[in-house]
Amino acid sequence: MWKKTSPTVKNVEYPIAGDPSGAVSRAYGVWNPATGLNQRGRFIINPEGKIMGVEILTGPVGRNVDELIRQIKAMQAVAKNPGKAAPAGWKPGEKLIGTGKEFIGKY
Amino acid sequence: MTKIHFLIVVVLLFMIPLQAQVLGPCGSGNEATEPQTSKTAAVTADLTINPVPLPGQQAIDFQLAAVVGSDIKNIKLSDYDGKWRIVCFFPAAFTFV
Repeated sequence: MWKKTSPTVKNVEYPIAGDPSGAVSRAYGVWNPATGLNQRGRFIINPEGKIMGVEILTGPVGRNVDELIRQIKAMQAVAKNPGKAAPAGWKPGEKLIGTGKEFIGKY
Repeated sequence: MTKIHFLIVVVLLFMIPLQAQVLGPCGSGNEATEPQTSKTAAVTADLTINPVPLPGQQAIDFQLAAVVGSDIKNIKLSDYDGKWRIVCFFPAAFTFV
């Protein structure tokens, strides 16, 4: 219904699911029983099913997709390069840093 | 922007208020179309709210009816194993945020 009536939602390519029983929302701890609504929660899950990132924003504030993509790219880069880290503000294409003691103060 | 090397699978989940179920994307609201949550998700009977899962924890698998393209299918989180996944929850539809 929503997909048929909204010109923007029509273009959505990812699955949109309803959670009428609220079981999934409760399992992920984002359901607010006082309002009967979910919090604006977002979970990044890696290919092995492990939670890699969690963000929960207050209702009236929207998310930032660019930041989400930056975080996933950083996680993927680190996953490909064990022992390396993506420093604060790292952007895709930038160098990863070493994490040993010998690197303290080098960046 | 450079080529995106990952596939984004986003599952948007939202609570459908009871009176809106008839109009909601899940269809008529009768028993047959009720999505079934898997056993690994929270128990439906008690209303216990889990603590928010933190990084490092294994994501809880679930199964829900979802709009995929122009079809409604039952999908599981584990259907997308081997891919990076994003699960987004939102409070309500048509909120302008």
